[in-house]
Amino acid sequence: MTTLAWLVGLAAFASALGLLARLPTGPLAILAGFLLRSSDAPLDLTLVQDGLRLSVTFLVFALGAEIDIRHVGRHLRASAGITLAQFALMAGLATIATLYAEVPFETSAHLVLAIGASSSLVVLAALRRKERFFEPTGRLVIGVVLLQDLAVVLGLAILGWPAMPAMQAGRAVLGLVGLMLAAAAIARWVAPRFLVRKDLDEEERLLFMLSVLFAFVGLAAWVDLPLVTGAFFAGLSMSRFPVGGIIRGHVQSFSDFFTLTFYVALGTMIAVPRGTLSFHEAAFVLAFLLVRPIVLFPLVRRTGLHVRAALESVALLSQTGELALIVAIVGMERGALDEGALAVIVGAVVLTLTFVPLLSSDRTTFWLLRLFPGRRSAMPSSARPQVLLIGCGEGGKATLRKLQEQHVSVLVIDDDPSVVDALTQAEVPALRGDALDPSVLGQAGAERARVVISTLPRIEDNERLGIQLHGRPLFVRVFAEEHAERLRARGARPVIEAELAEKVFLEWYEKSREPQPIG
Amino acid sequence: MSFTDDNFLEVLGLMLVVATLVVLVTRRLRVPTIVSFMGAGLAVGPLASLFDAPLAVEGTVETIAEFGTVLLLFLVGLELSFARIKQVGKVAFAAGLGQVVFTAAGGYLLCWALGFEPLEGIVLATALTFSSTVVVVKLLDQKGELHALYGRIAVGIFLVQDLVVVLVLALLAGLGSPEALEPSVLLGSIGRAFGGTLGLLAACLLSARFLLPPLFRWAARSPRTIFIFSLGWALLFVEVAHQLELSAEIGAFLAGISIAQLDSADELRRRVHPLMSFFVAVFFVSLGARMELVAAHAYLPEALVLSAFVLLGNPFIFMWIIARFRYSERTCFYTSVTVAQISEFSFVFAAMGVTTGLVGEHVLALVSVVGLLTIMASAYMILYSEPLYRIVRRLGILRMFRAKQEEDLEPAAPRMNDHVIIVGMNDLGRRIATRLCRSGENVLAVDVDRRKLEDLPCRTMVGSFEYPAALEAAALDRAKLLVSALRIETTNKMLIFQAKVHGVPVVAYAVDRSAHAELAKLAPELLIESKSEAGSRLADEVSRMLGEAA
Repeated sequence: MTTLAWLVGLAAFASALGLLARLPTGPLAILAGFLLRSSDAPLDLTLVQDGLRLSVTFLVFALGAEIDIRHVGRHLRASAGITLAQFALMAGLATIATLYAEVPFETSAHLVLAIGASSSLVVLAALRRKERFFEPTGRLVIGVVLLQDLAVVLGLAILGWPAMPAMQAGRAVLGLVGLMLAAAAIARWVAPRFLVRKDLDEEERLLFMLSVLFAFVGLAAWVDLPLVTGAFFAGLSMSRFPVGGIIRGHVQSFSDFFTLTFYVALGTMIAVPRGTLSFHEAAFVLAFLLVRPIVLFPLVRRTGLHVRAALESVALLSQTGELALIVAIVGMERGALDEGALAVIVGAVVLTLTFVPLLSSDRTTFWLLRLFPGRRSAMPSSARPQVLLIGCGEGGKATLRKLQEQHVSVLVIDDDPSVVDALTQAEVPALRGDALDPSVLGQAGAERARVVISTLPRIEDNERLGIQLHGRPLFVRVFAEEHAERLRARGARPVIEAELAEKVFLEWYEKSREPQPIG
Repeated sequence: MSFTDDNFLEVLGLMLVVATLVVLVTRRLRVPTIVSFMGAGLAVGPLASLFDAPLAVEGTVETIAEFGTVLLLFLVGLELSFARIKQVGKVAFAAGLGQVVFTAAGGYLLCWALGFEPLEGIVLATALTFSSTVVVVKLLDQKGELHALYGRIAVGIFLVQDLVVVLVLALLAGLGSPEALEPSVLLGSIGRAFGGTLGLLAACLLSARFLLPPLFRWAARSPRTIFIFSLGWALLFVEVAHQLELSAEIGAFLAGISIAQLDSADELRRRVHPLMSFFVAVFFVSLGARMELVAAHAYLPEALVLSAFVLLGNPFIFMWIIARFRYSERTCFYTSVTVAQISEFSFVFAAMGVTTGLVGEHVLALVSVVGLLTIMASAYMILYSEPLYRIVRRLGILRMFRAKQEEDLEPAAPRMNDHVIIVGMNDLGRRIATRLCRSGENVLAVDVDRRKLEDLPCRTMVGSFEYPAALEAAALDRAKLLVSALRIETTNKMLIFQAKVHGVPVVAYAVDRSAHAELAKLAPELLIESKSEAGSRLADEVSRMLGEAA
């Protein structure tokens, strides 16, 4: 119990410190675990190792349960393309490392698989924090990380096969197919029956969920697949709506507890790397981390995202997280990775997770934007608009429609090429580019427009716009009163969505209270 | 595959899968879950042997089981406020200590009558004396009656007994080493136990007053930090209790109480509950798996007699003591049936007796059978205490205790009915809550961040509706309307689904067109979509401005 108290206590400390310093908790927890091991604290190392395995099981289960591919929508194909291209890059790098740096293929393959997977937990948390969950960028990035998780779990299973005798490998292949089929069957028939239709109480539901998890883990062990493969497919089997929603609370508790204790327990396992091989591995990992964003950027751009959105997406995808650590642990169990490699991967995770908030910050994005000067379409020559409309999504389209009805001339700036193409075809003057770029605003003739309307979703973007327009009338759509306050301070005139939504609700509410006519 | 402790995941998996199967199969027979767990524990051993490997319930699995009991008692602490504990302090002390004396004396006499040796009699009587805190608390939790008057008295009694357990364990250990029985050493043990308890209690009171409130207020925006911090806090108390040679249960309970006074306690309980259910299931299954029943067949009559003594004698003694405190007959009866079993500590006593050479293996086996029988029977007695009370009352047995006939009055928790639940206190949620409240609606505002609930003119609740228990706490089934102002598609989808399941009209916010399309499939009464509305409003305001300028 003393060991458990140390693990949980340090996890709590790391979590509080992360909250205080606004730093990711994972690296702090790993560091805490590392310091714990270095101290003279009496630790039951068997318990730590078992705790690590249990944590990994629950963590991967939670990742599987998070996968709801329907959220990705029309971005699924683009997400799949990016994931595939990234894995092709990883395979290429692993081959080069094997041929030229004399790193064994098994080692390099596990290394790239580890650092190739971005942290879903970090990405989902960052998107929620930035309120970009439902924007195209958000949906695309979520698609990529979810598919990455799937690909890494499958890749991890497949990497174990070459070392197996043919019969054993055959059994593992069949086992993997069996797990997939079992997951599909449970998702389709069993889980809805037990968790939705059958009148089970909370404890019975929880037991059902846990027994599916451990049954899958047992099956995976039986057919010589990594336990995480079983845990992942168990999670996947319960990810569909409404089952996924029903178990979300349970999964959340387990995920919160085991994620943090996982990081601390892992920290206690790390040794400081020594020797030439570790140096090669470190150089290789560093090269990969540097090359990946360069490769990812054009791929993301090809999906149609503008430069800023692409930069933000790449910043979010260019980190490694919990799955990397799990691959490293499995690689160590297989003998493909040594303690040095584990330390290198942990170092990469700590480094990238620590810098993700900085890399994905608006300040970094705008700094990087300076490197991309030629990023806008040509200005329509005939446009001398009364109104400049920035952003033509759902809200922007409603504004445009109404202004057109009132014969007000409008020029639209939007960063989505498909939106601009559609507007151009409809003979609406439109300019593709980032409205926060002063040169784009200049090209659009912002200083001559009588009014500027912004439907950009982020409050920070609108504040920046307010500064750049130097007192020109700016109408902005915001969600909350507190955001409106901030924009009024910049001289903008906000329209508050919450106020309108309240009105919609109250109208419905009053109507629903009226006595209904009989018959 | 082997089932030694090296493969603890397989051991754990086997325990949970078998437990689930037994629970699902026996649920139609209304078998209490812990009985199913213990039954599964009995089955796990033979099942493991089918794989030609022995089952070892030790090491990590044992720690997990112990952690389950820690979480269970931590949750009990979270349920109780200082005022509620104070109410039952006297009766808990009197009944807890009184029952220990009477049962130990009665048990010893019974063992003597059954022909056991004096030392065997002492060990058996001691084993029969203590009731299982974990079993009873788990059952009260299942019944949802931990906070009921009889539940609080029972919990108080068990904690007093836990304190006595510490002393008796020290005493029994002393039987193996005579110097530990010297008066000075014994007095030292007693002083340490009471001093340690008082010290922990003081730490609990002081932290609840000065340390925890500002800490929890600061961390309110991160429920995850509060969650993990609370677990760390519980383990800190457990560790200190361990250092003071007190039971882990006392430490966990006091840690829970120190947090119980805070706003976040309810939400925290909902978050800890799934973890507790997992860990405590392992505890009960491993308890079943550890039962040494084979050697007991020769002592079956004695086992039945001793079990009957525990099942009938303990409640009898309790009825008599509690009735003296002027509690109602019903409260006396309900509390009394909670003590009709022996504790997991009983196995520890018996095992210690065997290890120190005081008694033979057969005593351990006998205690195991009595434990199994009494825990299973008392589980039914506790879960079905109302019909049992009615039967016993009709037979006139309860008259001899002369308990008060009037019911004990307990302030009933205000029951929510016909209310509007509003989830998500962003600007929209706060606006709607304020408006509906002013128009006379009974509104419950819900958010995970307590700071967002401040200054609202309605009833509030800190909680996440991703936890089914939160839906229950908000009385969704009795609500007249559920409104979600959240801008999270997945949660809104789930809320609409739950509202539909409970037959409650629902309104949700749709963040964009794709979310609208997805949510509309579930047919909510209204989907609020404000983007287009805001777009039109922008155009109107701009036109007006241009018109005025012209």
